[in-house]
Amino acid sequence: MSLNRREFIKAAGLAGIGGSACLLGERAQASEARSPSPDAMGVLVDIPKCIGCRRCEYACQEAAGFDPPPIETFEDKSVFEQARRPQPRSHTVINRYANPQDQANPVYNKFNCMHCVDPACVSACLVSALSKQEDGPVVYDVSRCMGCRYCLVACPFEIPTYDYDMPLKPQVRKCNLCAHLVPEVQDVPACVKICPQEVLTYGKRSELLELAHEKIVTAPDVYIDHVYGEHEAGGASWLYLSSVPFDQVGFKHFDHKAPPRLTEKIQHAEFKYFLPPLMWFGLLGAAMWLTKPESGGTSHE
Amino acid sequence: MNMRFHRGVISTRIIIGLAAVLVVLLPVVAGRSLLAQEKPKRTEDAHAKERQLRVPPLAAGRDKAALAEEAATAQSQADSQPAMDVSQIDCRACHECDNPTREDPCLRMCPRAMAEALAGAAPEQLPDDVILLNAFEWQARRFMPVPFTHKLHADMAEMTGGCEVCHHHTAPGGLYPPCQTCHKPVFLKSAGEEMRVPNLKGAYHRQCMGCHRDWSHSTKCSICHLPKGDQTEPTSVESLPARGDVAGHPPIENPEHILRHTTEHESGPYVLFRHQEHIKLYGYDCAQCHRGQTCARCHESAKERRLPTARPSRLEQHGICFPCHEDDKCERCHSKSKLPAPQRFDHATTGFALGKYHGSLTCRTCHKRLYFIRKLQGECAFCHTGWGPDTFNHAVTGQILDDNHVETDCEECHIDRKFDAPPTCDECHDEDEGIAFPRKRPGPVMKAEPAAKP
Repeated sequence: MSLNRREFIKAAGLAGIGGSACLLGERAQASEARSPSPDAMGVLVDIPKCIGCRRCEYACQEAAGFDPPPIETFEDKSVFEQARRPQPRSHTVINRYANPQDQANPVYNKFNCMHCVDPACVSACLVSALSKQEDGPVVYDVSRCMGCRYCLVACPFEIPTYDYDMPLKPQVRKCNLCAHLVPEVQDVPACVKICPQEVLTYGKRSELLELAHEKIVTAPDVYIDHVYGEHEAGGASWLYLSSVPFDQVGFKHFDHKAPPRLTEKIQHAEFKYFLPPLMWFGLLGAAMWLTKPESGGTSHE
Repeated sequence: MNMRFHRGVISTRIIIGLAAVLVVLLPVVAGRSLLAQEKPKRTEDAHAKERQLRVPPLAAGRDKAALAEEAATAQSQADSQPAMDVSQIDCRACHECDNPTREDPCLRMCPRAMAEALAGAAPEQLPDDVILLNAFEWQARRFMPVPFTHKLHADMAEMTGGCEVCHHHTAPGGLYPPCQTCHKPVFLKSAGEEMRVPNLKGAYHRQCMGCHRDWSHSTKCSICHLPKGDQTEPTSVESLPARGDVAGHPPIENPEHILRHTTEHESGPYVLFRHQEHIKLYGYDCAQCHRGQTCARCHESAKERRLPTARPSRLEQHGICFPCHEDDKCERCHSKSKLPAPQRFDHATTGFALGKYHGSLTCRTCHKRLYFIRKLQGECAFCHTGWGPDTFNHAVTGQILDDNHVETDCEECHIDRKFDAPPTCDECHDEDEGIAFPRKRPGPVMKAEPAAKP
């Protein structure tokens, strides 16, 4: 080992500069949390009103351009026997949960893209194939997608799916809040339009939140005092009201902080002014130079 | 000297202290009097807030202009309606108890017929037995009109909570406005106020599906919506195709007896409830006892739910019988025999023995106004109207009137035409002189049962 004292100090100094740059960068680049746009649209789901008719699944498939089976086939209740996730050809699914208050009438919950205020999938996408629109929807552009499927890993709600059925043009599939139809073709997303019970209310997120809290105040015996999606994972465009705790209807507990706030903080710090990479390369170079054999004959350079 | 100085110091201190106390107290006292003046205003505010909270979701969140406009239309509607003569309204028509309060109005179950009479509804305003629902054009393209059996549902609703189950946000006693008054047959819009009131499609489905999926476990469209196909389009209720599942409720079979043998009462373990007798003899209809019960109580899903229930409390078990059987002894119901001999109600125990004429009537002929059978209060005049000295043969009561009394007006002896109370004689006679009923009679008394008809 030929590392003498002077050289060690040099290396340590370099490392120190790099490290401080890294810390500095972390502080300077702490990414700003996104706040919901005042025009952002969303949907309020009144879970206790859902009767599990699965009409929304049918309407969703129809609106997404898939050829759904006849609507009567959606009356099949056996699908409820196990919890389902959104599928490449079914961007929304209804799941059934036991109702502790009334065993004969189970609770149904609707799962689809939450259209987060600060979406993790958008943050994870390297090529901006996913983007958050000002009016709410998180939309996907297949022409930009390179197929890395980072969005599938990043989504805290486990929503995006990957369509492997078409090997030559595979793509990410998820709900786009009918951004291709609303408002040009129809006023509201397809699932909202078909719902016979009006479980779903489409409107501005700010107004929906007001409505949700109003419902809790006027019917405290029906709803628990929690609007899921108001703060979860930084907030979402889809908001849920429930009569039973949300962990009993298939929802996970999340921090109020959006996941990208942590991941982007680390990422941005790592590449701040390109100093940390330089530091690492410097360190590696220094280590190579210091550990270089005395006689240059065996060098691979 | 020293002492005086000391005293001086003390008195100075006392004066300063008093002044300080005054300085401190004055604002407090003044503030209190001010507060006392402000108080009513504050409670008023609190009441206003409370009212605001009580506003049904229908009205909550509306802007003031809309509310004012609505109030104005309501006022004009109220003005256009014929004023109701309050003195003509019988409180008992709507309220079961004597002292209804805001908290406990003790309203009767759906007094539809009375409400219609009170509101002066014309026959054409009353709903048809079956209503065809076809408010939506897009629905009409795919489905036939939905035949809603209103009368049938109204009958069923009597057991589940009355007309208000569906006709919500409407005070009883008036005619119910059609659903479309508030729930518009438009497609969903996402504007502010429309988010709060479901549109007609949502309103219909929310009302229907609650019960329908409760007992059928089905969310099939075809339960109500028959698809358009080979069947010809119905133009009227009569031309609708016969529907097995919506044609009506199968007739409910009344059990003859219901025997309960779970009691641990010392008089005996068995309680026999003569179900048929209560319906046929005493004229109870289903809803009078089976109140506030959902369809699911009898249907399959609820049976599973009912099994592990806790034993009902003594009050719950007796509450339904008490209105009539309050004064009865325990042995009347709790017996050692499974089928005790029937004990017919002896009307003489009430102090009014039923004679030949009243004996052939059903209970409800006279006790028709009251929910549970109670002592009548002046209801005799319901039937016994228009009787006077010329038209009533007093001999049928067993008391023949002599020539002096036969022309006398009924009210002279039966004050206020109260025929169940003993007659008075002091209108004409001095009762102190011994001319008083029943010692002195206005004629011969018939021993035998009167035979002549009035």
